[in-house]
Amino acid sequence: MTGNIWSFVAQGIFATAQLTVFGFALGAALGLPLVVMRTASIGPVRWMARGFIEIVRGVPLVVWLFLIYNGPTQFDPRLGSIFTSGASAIAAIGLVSAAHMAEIYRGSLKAINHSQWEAGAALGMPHIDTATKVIAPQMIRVAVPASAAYAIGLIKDSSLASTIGVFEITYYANTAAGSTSSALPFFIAGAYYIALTIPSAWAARRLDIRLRRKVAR
Amino acid sequence: MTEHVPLDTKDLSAAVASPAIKLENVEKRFGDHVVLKQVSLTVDEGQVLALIGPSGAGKSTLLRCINLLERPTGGTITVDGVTVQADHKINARELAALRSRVGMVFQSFNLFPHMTALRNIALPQQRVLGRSKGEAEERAHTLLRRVGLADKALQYPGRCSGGQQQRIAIARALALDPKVMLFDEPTSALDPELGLEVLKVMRELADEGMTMAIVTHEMQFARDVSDHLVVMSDGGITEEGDPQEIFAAPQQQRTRDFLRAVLDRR
Repeated sequence: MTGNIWSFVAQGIFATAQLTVFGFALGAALGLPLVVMRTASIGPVRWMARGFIEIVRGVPLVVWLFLIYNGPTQFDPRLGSIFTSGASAIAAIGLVSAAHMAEIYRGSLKAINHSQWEAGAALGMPHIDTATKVIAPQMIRVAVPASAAYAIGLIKDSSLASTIGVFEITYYANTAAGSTSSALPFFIAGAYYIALTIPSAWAARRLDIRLRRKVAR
Repeated sequence: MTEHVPLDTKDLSAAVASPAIKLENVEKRFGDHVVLKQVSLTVDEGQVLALIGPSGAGKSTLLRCINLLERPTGGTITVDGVTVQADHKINARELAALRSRVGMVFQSFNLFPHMTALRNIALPQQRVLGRSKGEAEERAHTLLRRVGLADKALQYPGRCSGGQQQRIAIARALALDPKVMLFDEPTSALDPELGLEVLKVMRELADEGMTMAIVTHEMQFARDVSDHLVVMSDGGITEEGDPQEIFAAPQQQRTRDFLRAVLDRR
């Protein structure tokens, strides 16, 4: 029976990985225009981005999950076919990640010495070239450790998607626990999360060391 | 009469050569604080100008006004025929035209740490002059050889000594074929020995006829290499003229104080 529970809960691993990967990818991508707006020289643009980030980060992920999953169908029930539990979960995780990633990017941007912009300017390079060829690559390197830590956190936070019925690790564990009246499935879920997070943390550390070696200052 | 001949030819060449850099009444203020007070100076083509003076005198600010890294609040700047007026809004085209004529070397090198020496020198050529990658890298190799670093092409700046980094930075600026080179305390961040290798490259450049403006604390170098010396203090020019003459017999008390302070230290 125990063996069955292990394989039963394991059915959720793929969904957990999907939620994390797609949610993070969405956040990492959307975070870029957001940080550009957040650091723009035009006041209203900057305030809008700042307001957006504060609101998104101020509301717990689980509330975003409920809002995105249940909200649209209130206006038109047919929207339920778009906002499935899986799509809603990725959207909610992506939204919250975008706000967090924008702040991680902003911190990395600040870490790049102003003299790098100046060097580009003195060489006569167009601003956009300095931003994309000089600043961005250095920024990404600075952002890797914090981004990786955030992504690893998402592996665990994605468990909240079980509340809107996404068939991921915690959902299966909860179902198994209900039918067996035992806490064992949750131990198994915990083991699976650790099996996912520890190699990810190790890989992130390897990546960081590799990038660091290249820009040893 | 013969002793006048060299003097005459010098005067003649000065009359023929157009100024490579011309600053007229350049002023820079931050609110009420005036950093540069109506500074005017001229550097002829092929001349080497040395700017010396105590810290806070405005030397670096003046140098940074030449390529508009610092926006002057008043006056006119002309480099190689391109004129920019401070009281007009400076558009991107003017800025690009001016900066394409001016190379700059910083105290802290400011190389791009995520690129090899070769890419540091090639990238700006590709982006600013539209050279092909092959062309830009070929020129980069040539310049690295010229500054004595042919073997460092594939090295990242972090793996190079300060003196090597500064020579890479000089090569990077030269790669854009500037008409004028600005040096902002190029050896101040270096150990004396490493500074020497940078000064050697600069001396060669001067000998080849590059127009240069150098902010420096290397008095010996200023005396030996420059054609024209400007002593600054409190945002203005205290004294200017022939370097040998000023070092031998400074006319202003402020210059005497400054030179005594730096020369006694050695």
